[in-house]
Amino acid sequence: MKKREELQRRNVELEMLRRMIRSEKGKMEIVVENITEGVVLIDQKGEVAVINSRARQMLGLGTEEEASSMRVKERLDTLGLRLFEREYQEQEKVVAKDVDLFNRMGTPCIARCQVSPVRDEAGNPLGVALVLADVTQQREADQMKSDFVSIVSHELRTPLSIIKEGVALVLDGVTGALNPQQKEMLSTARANIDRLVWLISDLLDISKLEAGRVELKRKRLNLKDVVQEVVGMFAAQAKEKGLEIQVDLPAEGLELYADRDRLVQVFVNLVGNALKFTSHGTLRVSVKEGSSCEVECEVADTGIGISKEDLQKVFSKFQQFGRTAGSGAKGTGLGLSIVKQLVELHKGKVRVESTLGQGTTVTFVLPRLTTVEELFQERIVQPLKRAQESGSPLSCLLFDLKGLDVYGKRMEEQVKGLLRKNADMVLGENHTLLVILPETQRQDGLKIAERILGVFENHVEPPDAQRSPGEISYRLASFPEDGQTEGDLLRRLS
Amino acid sequence: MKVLLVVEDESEQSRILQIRLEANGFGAILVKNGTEALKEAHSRKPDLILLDLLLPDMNGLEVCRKLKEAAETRQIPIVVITGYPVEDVERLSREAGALLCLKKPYAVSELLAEIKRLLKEV
Repeated sequence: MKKREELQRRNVELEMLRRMIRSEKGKMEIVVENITEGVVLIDQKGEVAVINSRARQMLGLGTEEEASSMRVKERLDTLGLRLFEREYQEQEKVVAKDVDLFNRMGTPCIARCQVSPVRDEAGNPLGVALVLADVTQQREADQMKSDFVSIVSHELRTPLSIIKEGVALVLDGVTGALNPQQKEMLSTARANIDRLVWLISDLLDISKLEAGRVELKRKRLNLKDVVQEVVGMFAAQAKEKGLEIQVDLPAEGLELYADRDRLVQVFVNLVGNALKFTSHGTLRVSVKEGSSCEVECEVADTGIGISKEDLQKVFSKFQQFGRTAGSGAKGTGLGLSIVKQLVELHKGKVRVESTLGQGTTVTFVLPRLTTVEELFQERIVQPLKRAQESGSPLSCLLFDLKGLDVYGKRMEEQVKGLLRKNADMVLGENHTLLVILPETQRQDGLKIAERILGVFENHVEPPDAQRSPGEISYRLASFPEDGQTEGDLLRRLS
Repeated sequence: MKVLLVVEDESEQSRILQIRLEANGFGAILVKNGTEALKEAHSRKPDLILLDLLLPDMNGLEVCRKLKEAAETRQIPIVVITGYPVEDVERLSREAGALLCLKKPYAVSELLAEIKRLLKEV
């Protein structure tokens, strides 16, 4: 009797628990169903465990029946979101990617897809979650802001250049002789026009940098050339102020993988600043090899210096501390924040040390050559996107040049001569050469690879050497045969 | 006297350039669009052409190409001047047949030096 009562009591408790679970589950389902983002959960077996209606809408999969694991998989695959692959499921970090999907009205939208691993409390993987958010408006707003800045800047430049040329014409005496006062006024006008031109170009740069729209055009370069070019630009100005610019770099220079124009811009800003705020003493530009494959660059002056409080704000926009101190020391206050962003874009770091009244030293450290993975990521995204959009093939070659004694400019020119204009090639760490061949099928990629090998073999001394060509090897990866994403292609190459 | 054809739709800009050129002993013919540029290039045979890429009626590169295709104007050196930050504009200009590409805002002294150099070479 007692046993039966006990059993009944247990049954009632169980039923209550069931109801509670059902109600909690219902609540969760309502939440998942009604949030504005699309949600897809894929379990470890590769089955779709959860897909809310928003996700179905965005993926264009209509009804619940249509959203079978198969169909979802197909759809995600075409978007390059390979959520069903184990590798994807086991990774640690959240991956975000923007793709073209549909919004609630069924019209196209840009969706940010965030893929994150799902784990239980003990940390065991349970699957992956995909969250789809409509970011069309956000993207449009960003686009409008940067379009606005760039259009305004260009529209400002035209009238400015007319004013500048007009003033220069009179100032140069082309239209007749000037008296000293006229000359003085026009010189002031010209100097301020130049200032305005600088301000506009700095504003344009900072807005592009902040919008993440500056793409580095990196290639191999020698820092020596860059430093000498910049120092040359300021030589006359320094002489006028009675200052000496000391240059301190290794005799053979230092090779670096960087965007030349941007690096020049960094040095111009730093040397320009140093010159502006220094009235006696010396400027020193030094470049040396740092630890762990880095380059350390330093621009030091014996100028007015920066106080401790101001030092913290030195990289913020529109900060100028020398204003009160010197005449003619006018700038945009954007220089250092541009420098910081450009250095960081190169994955480098910048720091400032200064003592009021004694001088300032700005140091930045840049990584030298980049790993194949990074190079590949950087160079492949655009060509692969174009290939995917136009449905054309793409091949990538990765050469291992360790067997080569030297890889010089002449050889590079010869290899370049074999390639079409839209091809891209770049040297990476550990004597690797990456060649990207848009609109090239696997077969043609192989032919080109053999021709490039031919160039290298001609350079192995002596010409008909005993060396086997096997010492210089290469790998080939082609889109679409070897995979759809940059990850697939890279795996093929490494 | 060497005569230059200035193709530029901003008339104030070309007027200033004209004064500058004349002060340096050059003659200048001013035109505002691509059609006029082609016409004047054929009839007046200038010694050098300064060509803006942003023209109201056609792309400056197209003007450049047409001038290089025609036998009568092929040998005239062309300097492209551009204010628009088009990717690869230098390469495109060279491919279209221009000898040189200057980006606005350019220094007048630089432009004059290049003009003198190119005219001496031809």
